[in-house]
Parts: sequence; structure tokens; C-alpha cells
Amino acid sequence: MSSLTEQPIQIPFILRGQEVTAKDLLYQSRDRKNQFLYPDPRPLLDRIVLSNPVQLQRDFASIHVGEIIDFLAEAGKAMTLNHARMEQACRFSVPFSALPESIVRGSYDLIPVVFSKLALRTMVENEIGSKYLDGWVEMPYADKIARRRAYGARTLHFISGNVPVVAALSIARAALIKSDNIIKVTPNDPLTASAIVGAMMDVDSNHPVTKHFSVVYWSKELHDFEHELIQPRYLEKIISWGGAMGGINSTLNHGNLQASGIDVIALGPKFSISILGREAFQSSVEIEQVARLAAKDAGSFNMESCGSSRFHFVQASPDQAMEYARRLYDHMQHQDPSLSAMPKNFPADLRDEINAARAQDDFYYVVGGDRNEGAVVVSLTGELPDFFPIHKVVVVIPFEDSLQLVDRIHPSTQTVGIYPETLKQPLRDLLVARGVCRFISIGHTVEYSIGGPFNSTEIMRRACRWILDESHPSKWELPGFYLRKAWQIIKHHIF
Amino acid sequence: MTDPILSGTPESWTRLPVQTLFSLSKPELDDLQLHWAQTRFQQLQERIPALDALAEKQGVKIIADFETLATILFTHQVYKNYPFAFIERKLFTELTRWLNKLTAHDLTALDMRGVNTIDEWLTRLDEAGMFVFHSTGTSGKLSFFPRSQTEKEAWVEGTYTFLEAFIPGIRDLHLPVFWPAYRSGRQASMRLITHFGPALAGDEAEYHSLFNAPMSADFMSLAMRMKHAQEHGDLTAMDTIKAIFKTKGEIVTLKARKAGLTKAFFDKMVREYRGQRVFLMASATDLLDVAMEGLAAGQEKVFASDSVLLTGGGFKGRQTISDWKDILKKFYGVDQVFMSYGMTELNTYNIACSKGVYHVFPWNIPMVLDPDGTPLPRTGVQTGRAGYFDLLAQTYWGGILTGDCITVHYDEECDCGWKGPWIEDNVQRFSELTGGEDIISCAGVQSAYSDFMEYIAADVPEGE
Repeated sequence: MSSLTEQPIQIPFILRGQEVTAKDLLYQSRDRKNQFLYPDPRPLLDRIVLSNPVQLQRDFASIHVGEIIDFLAEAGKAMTLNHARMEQACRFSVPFSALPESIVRGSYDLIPVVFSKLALRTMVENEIGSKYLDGWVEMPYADKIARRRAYGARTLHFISGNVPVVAALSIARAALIKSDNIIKVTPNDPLTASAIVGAMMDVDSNHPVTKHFSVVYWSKELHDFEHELIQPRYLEKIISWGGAMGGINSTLNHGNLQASGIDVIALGPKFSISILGREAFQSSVEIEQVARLAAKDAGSFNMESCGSSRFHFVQASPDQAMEYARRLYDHMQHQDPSLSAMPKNFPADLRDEINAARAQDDFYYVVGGDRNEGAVVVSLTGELPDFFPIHKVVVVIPFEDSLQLVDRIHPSTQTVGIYPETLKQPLRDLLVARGVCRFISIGHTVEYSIGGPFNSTEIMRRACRWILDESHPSKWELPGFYLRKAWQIIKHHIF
Repeated sequence: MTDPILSGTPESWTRLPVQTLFSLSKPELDDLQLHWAQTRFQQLQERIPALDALAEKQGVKIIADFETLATILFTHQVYKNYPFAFIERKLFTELTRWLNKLTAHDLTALDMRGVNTIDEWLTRLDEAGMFVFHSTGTSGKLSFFPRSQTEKEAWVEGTYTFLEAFIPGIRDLHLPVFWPAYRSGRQASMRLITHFGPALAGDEAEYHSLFNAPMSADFMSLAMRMKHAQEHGDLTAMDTIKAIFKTKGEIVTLKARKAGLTKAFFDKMVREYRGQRVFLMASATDLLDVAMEGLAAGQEKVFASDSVLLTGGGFKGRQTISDWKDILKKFYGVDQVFMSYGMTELNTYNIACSKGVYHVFPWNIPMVLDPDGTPLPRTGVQTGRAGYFDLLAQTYWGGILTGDCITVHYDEECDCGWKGPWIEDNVQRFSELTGGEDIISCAGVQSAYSDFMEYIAADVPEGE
């Protein structure tokens, strides 16, 4: 608990181009180690929401995606740690984050990369195609003119705070699709989103993109505020990280929400695994090479990320699995500090689990874990242990038959790293059926393809409102219409 | 190293009156406890593989002080980290091999052929001289605590001594016993009532339980499997589990009959035993539910004022009603509500004194550790994670590290006149303070069980 002389930091709200600070309310973590002051959102509701939906279309009527990219990229230049706003946000974030400082800084270094022209262009073109956002695009129907267009929506984002890059990606995506956005930050990353939108504000506080962002926080206890805000008259979409409503983000009832007609896009929570076939264990040289790569997937973001590989299924004998565990552990202890470092606040119950496993040496083989530095636990029976591995603790599970293994894959599995590559083909469709969303070559989990689907969802497409405009030609328009259709058909089928 | 008062083994102390047990000065008690902790360690280190592994890792060869003892405590995970598949796939030989690491008894020769259920497994262990307690499995899995017949007598006598403190002469006294739950079983409180229900009542007829059926460990475990299947969206497994329940006629209809039974149970209690001295033991929530209902129906002062109403376990998951003790007194008509604070891992409860704080029997050594597991000094007032060493454990390791946050007063004597360390009446789970942690708990059990019954019963035709 901080003393009376030590004031908790203040978390600003950003309301459509204006920064609001106040010491109205106090957030305090359960252990009272972390706290911040923030404005009372209740009297600010009118400024947080976009009451007039027409305003959104009006503001973006003549703005093309290209201009948005230029603006964001300009703002992105102000998002490096050389800038006071970002540097301060990064520094203040450290105590709130479960990540050690070196990884928080490393993550902040990724933010300007997300806001680079190349990344922004890739994101929007890969996932939607800017022509759908900038105008009506005709579909080839024979009897009518049918056109569609992607519109931004009034969106509430419950973003996750485990890695700061989630804030950056959420804001970039939302800006590109011309949405109106209310971002609710979480106590484990209360500053990144406002720093990013703040950087946009520094470039142009009157830019339509800037004007359509609110960054706020409220405690779950403010039920009335939450229920006042989450109404179809203010919102069309909710993007909820960390699972559907209810769980960690809100007290709202998911069923009621669906009935309201607000589209809820639930992302996660997910975790990732590795499947290493027999080929990985043919020699110590091979084991070493595979362990080095798999360690990158396991250790990244100290396992705070959904892409971090926590369970390694190995088609190996107990001896091979133990050798793999030792090598994996060694590699995980010597990694790029911007991605993997000494765990922070290693949980006591996980330490207890590791020690309990150590006491049953016929059933578990434990490497490391003495200094809260992480560990590798081999389940010698091939069964899954009860605990969920976090903070650089990996569980290694030997298996015999890869087709039988598929039956044991948890539906919350996101990424699967597979070795050798040839094993991907026979397993891929089966794993998809079990819920898996992404396949990688081992060692590459952090290199997420920008603009690719995420958690089996194309978030930007889903975050848009897709509008259809159909026109049927009147009698006199028919000749012209047929000519036009003939040309379309020729274009489509002949060229 | 002997003491004029507590000269025998810790087991023998359990027959002494509380006045004697709480008469030792701090240095006397410290010396005695340390001596016995070291003795237990010497006796058990080589016979309990899991202890040996922990002691080796911590570099402990001798217990020279309490700080050293605090580094070799077992957490609750030790008693449940068997692979869950052992139960699902009925690998009871493997489960025995796992348990064998935790006891000084040799279970390797036990034949587990033909064992298909946890209840059968526990029966076979009972027959072999074990006396295993299982947890309620609120965390999703049953813990198995490897007590044996060796400890049974001290467990019984220690509990009698605990009861004696508020019911003098209890060893020779018989009272009608009311217990609003299953009649018997192997979960900690069920083990207790299985023995003490008939013993206190004098015969089976005066021991009144809500259900006549025993609590089944398999049923508890299935509840957890069900939860697991639900989380995995595994509809096939859920169907299979439901099918298993339907074959167990009696148990399936329990839920359907519970409302009727509960009413009948309390009606009988109020009607046939009004004004009598009885022994009533239940969770605070269960007692309160009945009391509120009874008071609303205009009933009060149901039993003789010297009846024994024993409770504990708190109000997990429910709002605490500040005057709940007064409500209980008013309805049940008792002068006092007796409180206990205990856990599966300790043979006896800690005992609440007239000042409402908990005293620790000399055969239990309380320790307080910081969240990192570093022992705090055994002086003054200390708040932190509770550790205990139970000197009554002779065939398993008595050292445990709980998930409870407690405040212990080491030096300051309690106004009640009892000497020795005492614990403030504000025990909290660390999981409630910081989230995530799980402990073996007796509170909230019945409700978890009921919720599950509700689910199962949804498909069961309402019988009777």
C-alpha cells in the first residue's frame, strides 16, 4: 500500500480529442500493491458515447483509407519511446503489468511498427480491401445491381492488458475501418491505449479518427454506468477480449446482450501448444535444435500471450522427453530480454504445484523451478497435470499415437507449432475440428501474420457493418442495364 | 527432554483436559514441540519418499529450529497431484503407487484387482489398515490424505478433548445427535460423524442424519468429471456420466427427495425433541437457513439451553449476516454457539475459547509464513500464510502449508486464561485475498454438491 505522501498515479480519460483527468475514483488491486486514480465516468457519459450515429458517417464521408493510413503513420512516428508521452506511459505501466520491465519496453517498441504504413496497408488490404471501406463495390448479379460496402460501427472494446500490443492493434484496426470507438482499458495495462490515442491527438486533435476514440476505465462495481452505456442506442458492436462478457471484463449477462442486438465479438481466452513428432528425438543434435526453436514459442512474452506454447506434446520415450526438458529449460533461461525474462510475481500456488510434482518422481520429472525462474515439468505418465502453466513453466507430455493425441486437444487451443512440417498435413483438419485456429512452424509464434485471421475470426471484417444496396432497373433502364451486365460477364468469365 | 506435565508421546496428550494442555509456558511448549517435530522427522524421513525428496531439495537433515521445520511443509497440491486419468481409467494400482509416496505404510503389496471405483479403492485401503480422508474436491479433484489406523485413536481422543471443553463429561454422556447431511463417508467431516454420530448418540437410533445413504467419493468425483466435461464441451462424456447416475437408483433420487427429507428431518427434530438437550453439528449456512425459516414460521427456543450447537466453516460465497449467532441462539434456544476451525490435514480442530479466539492444541504447531514461503518469527503478532505441524501424525508427514491467511498471537496471553499461541477469529483464504489459490475446504461443499445434484436431477423423474 502506498503511503500518504505517495499519491497513486492518475489515469487520464481521452474523450474524442480531449484529455480529462480527475482524482474522483480509486482503483486498487486486491493485494493493494497497485492503485490509480481516474475520473468518474458517470457524469461523462454524454461525452464518452457518440449519441448521434449520423455523425460517424458524416465525419468519414470524404475520407479515404489512404488518408487514414497517412494520418496513423504520422501519429505512429510519435509512438516511439523517444517521445515523452509514450515513455511515461511505458514507465508507469511496468508495475501494473505481469510482464517484467524489459518485455514491457520491448512491447512498446512494437507499437510504432504496428502504425507503420506497410503494416497498416497490409492489415486493411489483407483483411477487407480498402475499396469496400471507401465506396460501394458491385457484385456480379444478372438481374439487378447489388453493391456492398463496409461501414464502421459504434464499438465498445474491452481490451486485454496482458501484452501492450493488443491496445495498438485494436486501435489501428478500429481506425482503419472508420469506426467510432470506446476503449475500456484494464488495470493490467491502464495507460497504453490513452498514450496511443494521445499521440494521434498530438498530431491532430480534430482529425475524424481522433474524434472517434474515447479511452476510459470503470470498475465492475459501477453496474449502473455499465448498463446505461451498453445499450443499442449507443453501440452496435462489442469486441471483448478475454472471452465473452461476464467473466473478467464486465458484469453483463451475455444472453441479455444478444437479445439487445449488439454484436459481441468474443476473442479468447486461448492458449497454445507444440506437437513434436518422433523425428525431433532421433539424436541429441536433433533434440537440441528442436528445443531451441520450441523455447522461443514457449518463452515469448513470458507466457503472458495467447500464442505462447504451454504444453509440448512429444512423441518420445521418457528418457528422450527428459533430455528435451533439460534443453528446453536451458534455452528458455537464455532468451532475448525484450521477449523473455525472469518472471515477475511468480505465483505461490504454481510454485507449490512444481514442488508437489517434484515429490512424486515416478510421475513427474521437474527441471528448474527453484528460483521462480520458470521450469519444465515432464508428465511421465503422459497425462495432463491439473495446473495451468504460466510464467515460463512448460509441461511436456509424451504421447505415442498422434491421431489419438488429437482427441485430447482442448477447444481453447489457439496456435499449434508442429514438427516436422510433414506432420501438419495429416493433423491439420483434425485439429481444426478440435478448435485450433493457427498452425506454425515451431519457433515462429511471435511472427503473427498481420491482417490474418485471429482466433478463427477476421476481426476487421466482423467489426464492420456490411451494407447491401440493391437496385432493380426500370423498363427504360433495361437496355443500358443488359449492356452493362454483358460487359461484366465478359470481364468476369473471359478475361 | 521431558516435561513434568506432557511427559508421554503426543498421542497420549490427547487424553488430558484442556486446562492441562493449555498450561505450558512458551519456552516449555517450544522445547517440547521442537523435540517431537525432530523425532517425527527422524522416524519418517526415510519411510515417506515425498518427504525425503522435499527434505533433500531443501537440504534439511535435522530440525534444529522452527524455521527449518517451516521449509519442509507439504502444500495441499501434494495430496492431489495424481493424474486425473487414473480415476477416469480406473488405474487404481497406479493411484496406490502414487499414494504410497505419501505414507510410511508399505502399500506396494496391496492387490487392487477388481477395484473399479474410488469407494472400493478406499474400502480396500481401509481393510489394509489405512484410514484415508478425501477432500470435497471443490477445486475439481479429490485430495487423498493418507491417515491410517495408527492415528485413529489420537484422532478420536483429541476430538473428545476438544468436545469436552464445552460439554464436560462428554466421554460418558449420550445425546441425540442431529446431522443434516449424509450418514457416513470418508470425507473429513463425514469420517468424523461416521464415528461420533453413533458414539455420541449411544446407539444408531439416536443418531439422526438427513440421508441414510453414505456420501460416495465416486459421486463427488463424478461431479468434478461432469464439470470437466462441461468445460470441454464434451457432450459424449456428459451423457455417459448421466447414464452412470441413472443406474445408481438411490443416489439419483436423493436430490428429488431432499426438500421433503429436509423438512421431515427438522420437523421431527422440533416435534419430538423439543426442549431436550441435543447435539447439533452442521455448517453455519445450513443451520442458518433452517433457523431463518423456523423463525419465520414462529418457532423458537427449540432445544434445551445447554444443548450443543457446533459449527464452523464460515459463509463462503455468501454474505455474512452480522448477527447470525444470535439468530441461531434464538431459534435453537442454545446459550452458546460453539465454533471450530480446522482442516482435513489436522487431526483435531482448533478450539474457540470464551473470548472467541482459536487456541491451538499443543500437538499442533502453528507457523506463519510470508507469501513467498519465508517463515516469520514466532514472536509477537504475526499475519500471513498458515502452516501447521501435527504431531499426532505418525505414518504420514504432519507438516502442512495451507492457503489460509491467519493472525497468530505468540506471546500475549489470552484473557480466557489458556496459555499458548492463539489465532484471531478472522481466518481468510488467500484465494479470497489474491485470487487463484485453492485449498481443501469444508465450506461451500454441500452447495457445490447440491448444484450438481440439481443438474443431474434435471433429467430424473421426480420420484416419491
